Amino acid sequence: MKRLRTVQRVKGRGKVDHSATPAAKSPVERRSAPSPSRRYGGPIEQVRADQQLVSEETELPETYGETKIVLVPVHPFLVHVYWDLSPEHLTKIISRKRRSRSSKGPWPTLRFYDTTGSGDAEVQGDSFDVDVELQAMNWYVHIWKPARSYVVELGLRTAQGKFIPIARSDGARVAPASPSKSREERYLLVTGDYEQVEPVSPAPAAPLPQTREAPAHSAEACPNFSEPEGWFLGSEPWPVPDAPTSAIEEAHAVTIQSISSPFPGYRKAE
Amino acid sequence: MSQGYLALVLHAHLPFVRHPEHEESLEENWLFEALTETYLPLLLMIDRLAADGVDFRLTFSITPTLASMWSDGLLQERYLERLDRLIELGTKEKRRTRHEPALHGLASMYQGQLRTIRTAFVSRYRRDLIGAFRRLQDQGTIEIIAGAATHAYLPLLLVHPPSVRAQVRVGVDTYRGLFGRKPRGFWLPECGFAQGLDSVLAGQGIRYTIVETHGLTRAVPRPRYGVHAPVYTREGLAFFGRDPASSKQVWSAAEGYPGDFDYREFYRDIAYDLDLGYIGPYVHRDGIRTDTGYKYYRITGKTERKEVYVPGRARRKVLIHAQHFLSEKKRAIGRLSAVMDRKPLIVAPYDAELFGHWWFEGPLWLEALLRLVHRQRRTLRLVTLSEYLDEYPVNQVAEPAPSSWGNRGFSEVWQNRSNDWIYRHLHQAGLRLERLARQHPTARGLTLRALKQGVRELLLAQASDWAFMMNSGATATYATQRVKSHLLRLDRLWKDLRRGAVDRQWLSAIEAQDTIFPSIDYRLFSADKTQGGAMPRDSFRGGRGKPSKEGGTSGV
Repeated sequence: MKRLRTVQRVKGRGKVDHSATPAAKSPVERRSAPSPSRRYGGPIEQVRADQQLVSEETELPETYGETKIVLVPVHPFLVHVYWDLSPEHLTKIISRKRRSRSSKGPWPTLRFYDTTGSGDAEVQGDSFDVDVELQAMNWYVHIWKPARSYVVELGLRTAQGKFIPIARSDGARVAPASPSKSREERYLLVTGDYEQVEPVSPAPAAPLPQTREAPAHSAEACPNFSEPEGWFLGSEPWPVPDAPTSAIEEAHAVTIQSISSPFPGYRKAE
Repeated sequence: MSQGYLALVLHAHLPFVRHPEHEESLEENWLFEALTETYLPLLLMIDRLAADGVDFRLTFSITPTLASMWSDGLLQERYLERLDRLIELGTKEKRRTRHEPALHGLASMYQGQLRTIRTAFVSRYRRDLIGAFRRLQDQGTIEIIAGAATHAYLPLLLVHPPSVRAQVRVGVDTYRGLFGRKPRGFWLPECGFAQGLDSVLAGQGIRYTIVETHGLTRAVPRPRYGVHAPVYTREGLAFFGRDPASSKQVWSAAEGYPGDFDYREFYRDIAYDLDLGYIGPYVHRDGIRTDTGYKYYRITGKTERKEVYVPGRARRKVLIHAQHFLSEKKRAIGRLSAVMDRKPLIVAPYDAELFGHWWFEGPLWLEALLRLVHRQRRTLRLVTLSEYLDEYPVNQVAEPAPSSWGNRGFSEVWQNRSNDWIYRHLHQAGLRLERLARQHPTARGLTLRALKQGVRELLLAQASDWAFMMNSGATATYATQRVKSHLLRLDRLWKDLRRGAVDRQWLSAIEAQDTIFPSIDYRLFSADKTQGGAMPRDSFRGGRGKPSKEGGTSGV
């Protein structure tokens, strides 16, 4: 076996299905090649019975009996959701399902809200639903809009289309898949142990010599300022399905705006 | 005057593996191998450079788990036993290979190296590696940065902010205790970053950290100089970005230096080639073949027929590769300095264990590079990241992007079907500790001990190494067992504390096993947010309300 591969960084090129994916059936793509932080010993391992834990229990609980839902971003196009239900909630859901005569409902559903720029308290606006199996207790969901914030609710969707929420997650921000379009420049002076933190304007202090040809701020002028071609998911041929979230794009400017005024009296660099 | 800077950052880390319950542990060998092949050779290299008056700078990240193992008496004793056995094996090997001059020479070489390492460990450094690194930092040639308590992959813990704050706070406190000063830099485990971590680090007085390339190239707004200058967050925490070319040249087995055919083959150890009757006393006592370090072959090529290693040829390649690396860096600096208003910076972080352990010639390459840089000082100089910030305290403001240096650049390595089950338990365990800490604001006696042990168990369970191993498949059973055992111990402590009946004998037993962080403060988990840095509204904290009212709305 050529195990030297263990120090290799491998950039994936896998095709990933964009449909919502039950975690138990369709795995997030796993790569055989490990990350560069590989540092553990060879293929052998010692499994010991006697090391068992000094504890009466040998398995972790399947449920903690508290209703909650947690949203964790995995990469720019994938999030993981897990949930747990209190016995009371579970009983209510089961009885509600029994009462329903329709074969279609009420169905356990994850409702995702795009909360970019609005904070996770706001769940108005664009949303999309993913049907899940309640007992799976976790789900991987492919998303098509990276660099955004989402909140997810676990609930029941009735045959009439009504959504009955059970639990709501906190907001989670999904990583961007490409460099930002914003090239705004603001500068900060920081000295010592934060003895002085103040905006500096205009900056940078020293102007570029006239003899230099390229505009310094241009990534095109110096390829080293950009990430390499094909860098992590950046140029993956991700198909972009028609999103039920048509208005999402506009919110981008709001995000930038909220970031760009942290300093009172701060002047934009010329 | 140089035109630009190169910052080499070596991240030294191993998970806490200490098994007093076993006479011999396979996992403790990770530490012993890294001591022999990486940590001590690097220290000796630095001493040689200093003795020769070479002006250099290196940045080291030494994680609290590794530091704890370095200073553990039991592990030190076991390491010496291991060294002595391997030196004894060298004598046998020299006899066995007496009619094969090439192999004989290599056996002598390895035995000689082991003897040098033993002398260095016992006499030169007096078993105190932390002290050795501390002195080097005090002399100003190296800078040591702090790390998370047990190397938790922090983006996946942000769901429970007190857990993240505890990882950072314990890391910073440990650093102060070991190195007698405040850390300026902090190593994000696996370069894992997500929004929210910046505030926690800034809240602990950290000045800078390092992210993977796209953590900076995808920052908002887009940094003017890419990864070749740091950016500040709004709070003034500096983020440096990893230079992709430097990592590829050294990391990649296909294109990087370590895959050169003249370099030593890591996987061809006599432990796997020789009869168990002969090699038995030098591998695991249960007959499990474990590396001895006596490795006689070179990579040779994409073949199983390996040729004998020739140290002279490898050394020549080392020089060629060091010259190549330097000329590439100089070229990059030349290109960059023409379009920057400041000296460009190339940040090259690596796992320290690459040098020596995985790449046998790595320490030699590093030494050659540092000497070459010293000889020419016109284009490029070495710098620590603190020095760069001192020279350039004005930097662009941007918000770094979520990223890691793991496979595919995000959290997939630590969050996929092989290991995702751990997070609901880790998050819940953190929440339980938070509740316990609030219920016992001034614990004493047995309760205090139980709470402190609870924190230790949680921190140990949070190590990124376990999820990594589950993902890679190698040592996955051990990793699963570690996560479960720490969480189950915490589960029992939780139940005992709620009942008000802690089993003293059992507690003593687990205290003796998981000895890390002896003076830990359990109140970290009940600490006010401001002490560890406030979490921004829009970070992913997970679906958790107040402890008494979890889970949000109910419409059922």
